[in-house]
Amino acid sequence: MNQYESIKASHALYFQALWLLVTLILLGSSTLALSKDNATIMTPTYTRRRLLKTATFTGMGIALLPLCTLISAAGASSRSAKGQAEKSPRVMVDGWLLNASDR
Amino acid sequence: MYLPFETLGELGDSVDVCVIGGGAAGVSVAVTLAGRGHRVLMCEGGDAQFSERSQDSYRGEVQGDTYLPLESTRLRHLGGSTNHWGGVCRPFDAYDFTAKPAAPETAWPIGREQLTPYFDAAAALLELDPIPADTPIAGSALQRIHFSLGAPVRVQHKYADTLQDSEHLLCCLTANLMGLETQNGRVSHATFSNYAGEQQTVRARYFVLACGGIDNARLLLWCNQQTQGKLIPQADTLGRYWMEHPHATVGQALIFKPEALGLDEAYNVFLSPDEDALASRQMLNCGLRLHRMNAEATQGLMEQLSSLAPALGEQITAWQQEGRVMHGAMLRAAWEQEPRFENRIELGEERDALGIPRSRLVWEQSELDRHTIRESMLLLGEYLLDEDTGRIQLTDWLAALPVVLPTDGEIAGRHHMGGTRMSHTPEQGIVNSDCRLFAQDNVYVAGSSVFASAGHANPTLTLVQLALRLCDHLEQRLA
Repeated sequence: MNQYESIKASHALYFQALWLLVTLILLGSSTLALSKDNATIMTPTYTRRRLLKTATFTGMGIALLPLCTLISAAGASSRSAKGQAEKSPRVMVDGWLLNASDR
Repeated sequence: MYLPFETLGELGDSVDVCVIGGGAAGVSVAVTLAGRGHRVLMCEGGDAQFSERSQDSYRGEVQGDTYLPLESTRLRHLGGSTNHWGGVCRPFDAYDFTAKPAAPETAWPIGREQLTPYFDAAAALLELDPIPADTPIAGSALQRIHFSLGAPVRVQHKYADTLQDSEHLLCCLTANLMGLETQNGRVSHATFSNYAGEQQTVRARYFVLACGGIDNARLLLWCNQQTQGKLIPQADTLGRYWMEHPHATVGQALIFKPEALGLDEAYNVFLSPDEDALASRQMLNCGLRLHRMNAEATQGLMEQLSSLAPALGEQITAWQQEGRVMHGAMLRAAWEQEPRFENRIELGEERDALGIPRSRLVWEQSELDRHTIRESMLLLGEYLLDEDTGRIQLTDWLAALPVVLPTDGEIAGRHHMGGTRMSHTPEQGIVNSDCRLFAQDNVYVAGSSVFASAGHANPTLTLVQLALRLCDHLEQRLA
């Protein structure tokens, strides 16, 4: 991974974290609203059940998508770090093209 | 059948095609057209066998980089340079006909697909072994390539009976081209001389000049001078864009996994960069040749490498103890030379025994030529490192920068190309895509002098393909 690619990856991680924060806030607020509803009106109507379902699945979806991306991005980042550690600088000694670690 | 020189002038208007030159290209055209029933006259300047009086015309001077004596790189008698060639053949790569990113002048006006229909016939004529398809090397931008390495065909011997007996093919020896007379965009007759200074004139419907990768340019320069430029009015590129295949021993390698390159089964493995590598590394084409070392030389290479790189040496020892078979390899290369206007055949001051100015070759290798061989080696070296398949050692002159090419050893492949370049317009070249002189309706050039670029492969197969394609073209016009 070159310098340009590593900057791009760190930006991606930053935006994924922001997404997760916004999602958690949304999910928390919708859960709070629903429990308030349930406390005051004991029997939810069809429209309310539909709203509850929509909010729950949307919240889960929004939460899962960035989480998955975060996991894969983190994996890729750790793999590239590992690769960088493995790739030894190249040197030319007496015409031999070698890895520095060969010596 | 053979014709005495003295009777050449008696042929009148009976000749359909006069082929000038009896080498690979000339014999291919003559035998093919005669086999189809056309009246062909083949005029060979040399004798039936090697003779000093003929070979002397090939002497010339060289300016620029070190090159071989011109008379030692070709033969001037019946059969031409097929009398001493090695028979190594391979078709050009498809991308050899295109404008390569590093040098757009490499573009031909035709593509490989226009030569492919003539591959089988050319392979039969040259008696080639089957040439397996190229295969990519996994994990690299290299491909394993193949050549026909069978016994070389000598066209003089192969077609001895035809030359002796054919009623349609007349062959005249010691007939040296002295001039081409042109009127209204057509050559009316050619003048020939023997070594006694006697001259004969030949008329023909079509003329095919097939005198090799230096003398095609030399003779056209001479004939054009004789006609005050009427033969080739736009002659700026005549003799120009001359090319060779630089050859050299470029290093050695220790291969840890010979099977990755096929070196476990073959003693000689040929590699070349793929098209993407040529673009990304801004280089031209190159053929790398790995020649497997014997066990003793391989052990010496291991010891040399282990003393320079002890950590790797320990690993090599461990592999040996596990029973792994590794091979050392000598690395040789032949690479494409950039087509440059400056590299050229000129008429020298001195004249040969026939009175024609000798050739002067002005030839230099460019920065791109040097870049091509170094990058090709780095491509192989980096692949070996990336896949831990081996290590290479670049020879001294390649390891140091700037690269200074050797002035001894192989130097080049004796592959003479260019000088009568094929192009779309008379401003850019001498012949059109049919191999016809732009300014003359009935004069064609056969041979590697029409190559617009050189690839890395030996030129004979490609020039025979072109000659057979020219036969089809001429047959249409003769009909």
